[in-house]
Amino acid sequence: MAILGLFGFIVVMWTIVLSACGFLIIFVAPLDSLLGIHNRVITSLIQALIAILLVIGLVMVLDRIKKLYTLSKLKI
Amino acid sequence: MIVVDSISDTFYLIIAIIVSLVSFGIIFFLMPKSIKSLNSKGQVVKDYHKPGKPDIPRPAGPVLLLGIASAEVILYILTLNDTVLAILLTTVIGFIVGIVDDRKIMPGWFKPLALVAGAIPIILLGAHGNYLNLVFGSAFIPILYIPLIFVIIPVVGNTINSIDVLNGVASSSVIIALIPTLISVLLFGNVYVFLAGLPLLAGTLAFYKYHKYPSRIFPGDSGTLLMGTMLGAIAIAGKSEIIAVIALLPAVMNSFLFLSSMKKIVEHREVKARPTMLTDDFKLMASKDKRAPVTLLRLILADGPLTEKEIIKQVTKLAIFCSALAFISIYIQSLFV
Repeated sequence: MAILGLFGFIVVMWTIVLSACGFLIIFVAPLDSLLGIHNRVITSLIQALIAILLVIGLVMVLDRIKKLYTLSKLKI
Repeated sequence: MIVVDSISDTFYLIIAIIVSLVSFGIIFFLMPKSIKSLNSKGQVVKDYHKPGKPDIPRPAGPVLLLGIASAEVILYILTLNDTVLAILLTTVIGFIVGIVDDRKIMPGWFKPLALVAGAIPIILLGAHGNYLNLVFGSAFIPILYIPLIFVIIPVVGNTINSIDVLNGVASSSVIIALIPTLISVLLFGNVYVFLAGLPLLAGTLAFYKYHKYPSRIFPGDSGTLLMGTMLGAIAIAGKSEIIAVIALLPAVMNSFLFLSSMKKIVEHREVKARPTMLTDDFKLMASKDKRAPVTLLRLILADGPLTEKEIIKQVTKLAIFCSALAFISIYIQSLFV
């Protein structure tokens, strides 16, 4: 059933979104106190850089999952 | 204090009923006239998935805007809340971008780029917060939040636009996603944004009567971008960005699959190899062409051809499932607030 596979794909996406949220809350949000930097602009730039890298990483992971899923489902 | 609270609760309840009825009523009663008028002016497109390829009037965007904007204007007069004005202006910008695309064929980059303008009212009127709700807590990002708004509005607008491939799917996806989003707005955002979201829910419900299978009218880019940008604005102003993303996962997934296949922003009409094909008995089947983009529709059809009605049911099931995941996420978020 294609729909069951899609439910699975969505659960994977949901888990990835929640994991990214958890990572951002634990490591990126309190960056100023973790690194001892008190300049808001510098902290924001570092946070932005980490967030962008995280998004790129997530897109690459999802792209890989998509390729595997598409290969198994559409046989192309 | 209890008396004051109950007075304000009654006030909000009355406003909620008024704005919902205004939006629902205008769209419900004016849409048949719009269908008649568009038909007589020849503003129709073919519905290729049905026998005989009937002409369907398009766009429904102007009536959607009239209903929703009238309700938002009333809400603004009653509350004088700037956030309501920001949501209204963002919605109008989404509509204008869409109507330009409805009237004239624009290149693929036009919609994402033009929709960036939709973020401006939110920023100028200060409708956004400095905290981003991330389910397990919120992050204080006063500088980072502004560029994020410039991304969210075009992404949500185009996401709803890209799911508009079958009768009623765009409107039903918005309705299903709005339920957890508005509950999240009420819990984590504020009551004015919740009230501003009700005209979208009521108006889309009224529109669904005419858009559901078999469609009597199509929303057009003006309709889908209006719904998408307004949903994005509500999510931002109501501190419910992640919940809205989860609730919209089928549409997000469709956009992601398409973009990661094509590796660039292109209009669907510019795609050379189609992701699906129509069989002689008017069923849709997945293309085996390697050059064709992967879409949600193509994956749903992986096990074999289905009728349009069967596919719509499958998409609705996915939307309801994602809405359930959004409710679970709301529950998790409530544990950390």
